[in-house]
Amino acid sequence: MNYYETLYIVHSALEAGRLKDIVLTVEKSLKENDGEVVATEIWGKKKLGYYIDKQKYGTYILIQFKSDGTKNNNFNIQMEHNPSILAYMTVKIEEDGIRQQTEDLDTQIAGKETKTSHASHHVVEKSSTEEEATTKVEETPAEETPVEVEESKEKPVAEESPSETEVASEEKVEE
Amino acid sequence: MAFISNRKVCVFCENNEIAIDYKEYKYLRKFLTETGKIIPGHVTGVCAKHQRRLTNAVKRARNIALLPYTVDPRNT
Repeated sequence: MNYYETLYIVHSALEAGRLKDIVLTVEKSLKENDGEVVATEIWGKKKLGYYIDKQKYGTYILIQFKSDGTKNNNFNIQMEHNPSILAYMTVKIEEDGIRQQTEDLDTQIAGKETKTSHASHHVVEKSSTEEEATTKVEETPAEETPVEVEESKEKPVAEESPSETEVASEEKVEE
Repeated sequence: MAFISNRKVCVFCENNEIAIDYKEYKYLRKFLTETGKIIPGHVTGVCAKHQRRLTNAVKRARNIALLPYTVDPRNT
């Protein structure tokens, strides 16, 4: 058994639901051709090096699988006949080159979608951090003030009187 | 006066951790001209062994449109 990987480009106009359907159909056709899927990685929408079928952008998907290689030709023919796949390339890889799939297919597709609206998310995160900061600032004086009040209560009346005189003198200077 | 060698050392021989892979297309761009041609090994200092692997990786990346075959400098 050898390890192979196929990198294919899906039409960029396809949405999340359709994209998942295509990924599943490719995996299905791979299983029909005696292949065992090891990992699937969605790279997301990228600019192509050159136009393919008048398309400037495409969604790259990498699929790594284990197979004896005898039916890879049939798999490639099926990929060729799929109209929503712009281009594909199957390459033999070593066992070291296998990537570990950490995320589920749905989360990967959702992650790529959220990346497109990345800026809006940043704004939300910033506002939330600002809110946290303001709450912290509000909390700290509230905690300190009662302590000051208690201290002032404990202080004798004689100590308070000079401060009042100082304030009065300052007012005179301002006048 | 000490002799200082101007001979370049192969990047991939120096650092074994750098893998030559067509999926690392952003790194492969270092070894292309602005028109998309592969720069010869005697210019970049890459040894013959790694230059062979590098050209294969670039050609694979071109095949799957990760890298362009040619770039018109007037358009950039």
